[in-house]
Amino acid sequence: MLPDMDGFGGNGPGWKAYLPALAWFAVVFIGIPACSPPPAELVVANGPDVQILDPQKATSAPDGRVLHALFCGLTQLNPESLKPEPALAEAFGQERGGRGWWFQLRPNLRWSDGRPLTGEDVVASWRRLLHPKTGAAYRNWLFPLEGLDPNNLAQQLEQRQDLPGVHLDGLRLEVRFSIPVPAFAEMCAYHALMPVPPSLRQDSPSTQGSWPSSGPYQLQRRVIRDRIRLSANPYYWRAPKPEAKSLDFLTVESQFTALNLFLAGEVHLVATDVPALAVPALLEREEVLRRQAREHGRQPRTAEFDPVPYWACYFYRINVTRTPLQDRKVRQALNLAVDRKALAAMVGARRPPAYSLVPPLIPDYQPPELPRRNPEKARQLLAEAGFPKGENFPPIELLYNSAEIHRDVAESLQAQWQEVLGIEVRLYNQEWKVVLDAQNRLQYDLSRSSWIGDYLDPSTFLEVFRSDSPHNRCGWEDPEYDRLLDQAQLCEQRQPRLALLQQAEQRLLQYGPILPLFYYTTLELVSSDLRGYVRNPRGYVDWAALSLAKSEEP
Amino acid sequence: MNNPILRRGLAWLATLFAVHAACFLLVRGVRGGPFDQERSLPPEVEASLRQQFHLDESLWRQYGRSLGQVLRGDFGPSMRYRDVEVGQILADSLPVSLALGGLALGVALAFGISGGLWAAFRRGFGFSLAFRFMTSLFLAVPNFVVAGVGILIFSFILGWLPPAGYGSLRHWILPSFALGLPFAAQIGRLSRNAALEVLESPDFRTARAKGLPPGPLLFRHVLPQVLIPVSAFLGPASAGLLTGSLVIEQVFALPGMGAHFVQAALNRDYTLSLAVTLIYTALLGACTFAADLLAKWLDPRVEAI
Repeated sequence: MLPDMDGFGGNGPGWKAYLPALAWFAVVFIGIPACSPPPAELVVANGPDVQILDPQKATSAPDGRVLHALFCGLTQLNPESLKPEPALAEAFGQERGGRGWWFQLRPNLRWSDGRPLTGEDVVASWRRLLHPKTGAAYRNWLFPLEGLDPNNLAQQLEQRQDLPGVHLDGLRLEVRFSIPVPAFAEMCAYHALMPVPPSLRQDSPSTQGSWPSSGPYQLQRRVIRDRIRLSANPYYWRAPKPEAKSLDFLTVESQFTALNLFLAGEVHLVATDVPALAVPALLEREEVLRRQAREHGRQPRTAEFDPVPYWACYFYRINVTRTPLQDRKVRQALNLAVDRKALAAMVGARRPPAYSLVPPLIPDYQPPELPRRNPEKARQLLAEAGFPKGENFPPIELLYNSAEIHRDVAESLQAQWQEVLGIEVRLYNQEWKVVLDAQNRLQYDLSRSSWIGDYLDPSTFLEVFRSDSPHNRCGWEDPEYDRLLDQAQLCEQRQPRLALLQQAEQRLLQYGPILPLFYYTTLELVSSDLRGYVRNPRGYVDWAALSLAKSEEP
Repeated sequence: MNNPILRRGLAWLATLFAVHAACFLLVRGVRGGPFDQERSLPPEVEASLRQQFHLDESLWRQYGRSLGQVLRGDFGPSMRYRDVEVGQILADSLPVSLALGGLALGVALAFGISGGLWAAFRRGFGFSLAFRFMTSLFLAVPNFVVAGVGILIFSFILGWLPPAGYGSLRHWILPSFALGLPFAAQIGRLSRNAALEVLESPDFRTARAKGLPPGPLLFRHVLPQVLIPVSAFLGPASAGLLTGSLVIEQVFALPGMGAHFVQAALNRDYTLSLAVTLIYTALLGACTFAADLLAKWLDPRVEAI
């Protein structure tokens, strides 16, 4: 059939047919924004998008990294020892066994816009942190302040201008607590307790970076899902000031994309995990590079990939309100059937098997340990619970959030429990929010979980399973456990305190609702050109100390 | 109601309304809320946040509020990025997605039409086979595989292009080809078939016989006929480009709207997911409508609008 050419004036639409195409190309090529910021001197792939750029409201690790580059606390951590060191405060110390703390502020501190940063800023910031309206997750850190009534905070704060328990005299700040808070200096290095500028403290704070900061960098631009661009803070107190004048935190959701960017030399630091698939290859590559450096007699280079223990534990929650899991013997049987060594070998990346909740990273705290794998004993306990050889054992559900590593772990445990105990475990994977919801409502049998410590003290892990903790989510209530934690809280001496915490953890492992499986390791990628980066169990980065080696050698 | 454009516009508005209601209900119906996280917020903090975002009100009031927001064009603050307005997020991300879609469409049209014409003019067995092979390949292989292979070749083996990121024109090349090539294959097939028909038509033969040079021959006789089926394909193509960009934006870490479309729902960011879904619906409607208008303008015989 030949095309009918009527209506085309003989020659078809002619030149006007090309107009849309021309217009299209014009729009696209002129419309593609020339808004291409030149790359920053230092580029970090920061993982998932930063949620909230507010030191007091933020809770996630990517937010924390940016906030530690932007803000500065009364103290800061030494990246090697993780001990608190003077920062905005030039000196600090504790009194009365940790019930009192004093901080001597540096004179002439300034925000990045040049305005003075004073002790009043610290008090006003802490008042804001405490106020329920702010919505700060870490507000309970200040609940032990002497004279503060946590149940009636809004009214109490609105009635007065100062803060109970906090006394400011010029540059000297004194804090009094009703119980010992031995970790307070360390907590002050965390973003939640950092002073925030007046413009953030207003009722409806200005967003999008019109506020000044106090750390090595100040905010220049934030594009959601793209990057956060920082520039050096001219008023930063510390000398020498950071060498890099600009710093980009890129949002890179996909681990593979982050790895690609690193391998192509586009980013200097990948702060989140590398893909599990790439771990063996990266370890091997590291070995090859190291050997080459040795053979050519060069200086040992900074390791690009070198997993070190991380202050975090991967564990399963057990819902103790459900039969048959409410029976302690069943829980013990589940534990004794698990081969953690094989599991740790499977997840790789040097992650050690976990026999406790608190990772063994504090020199003077030796966590108690769960009994090792013992299939005989496991079967015996299960029989004592009324399920010899797993007979009549109702199938239990294992809930985990969709991710490859969680699936592998779950499948491995499913097989082990089937083999050793003869019980059926059904796997359910759901997206993260659904898993959290099920945990909150106690609508699960077993569920994957993890916890990252906030400061280097066992209590940051153990407080999770207090009877009234919102993080408990296992239905486990044990007055004796709570009592041990209370007692430890009131203890002024370190050693007796740690001994009490150890007892508490022992109780948690023996009676409790968790199956620790392995401890995390840090899986960041660090360019060998990057100087001053220290791997540590907290993932704590001293952003002011980072610099790039001038690329002289090939 | 006889004006087709008016009719189409009303249908479009009704679609938006229905999508809004469905989206409002669906995202709230899924388990888990915007403020759930591993480190649970203290109950009183969560209560104050729920109040701040009016989640403590009845569903009807929330629906009315949401509808009002949409009509005013102000979606309020995002529930995940609590210190950022949804409008700001859209203003940042929509241009990126449009640019990516635009570039990919450019790639699809340029390579598709020229490839199709080339294949129609050179009808040798080898050429034909090569053309069919290439188009089948790009039609069959999903765009993220094209992206992966592209990154492997052009970023790591040749080192010409950055593997991901955003900033300069170089960053756009791989994503727009990865997104555009499957559509180029489709357009290539369409234009080859259309061109073959023209080449056999009597008026083309006449024009050629009277000695018209190749240039005018191509631009006056062949191309206009080729553009008609291609323009009819633009509607489905723009829908495909919009949805395809979700994946490509993820692979190349482009700060476009596609990632928000997926992530906002996963994060239970009620306000942002609603806004992004509505924008996509509106865009899809506008693109297909524009494509239909274009087809009608190029070929008045087309009736369906």
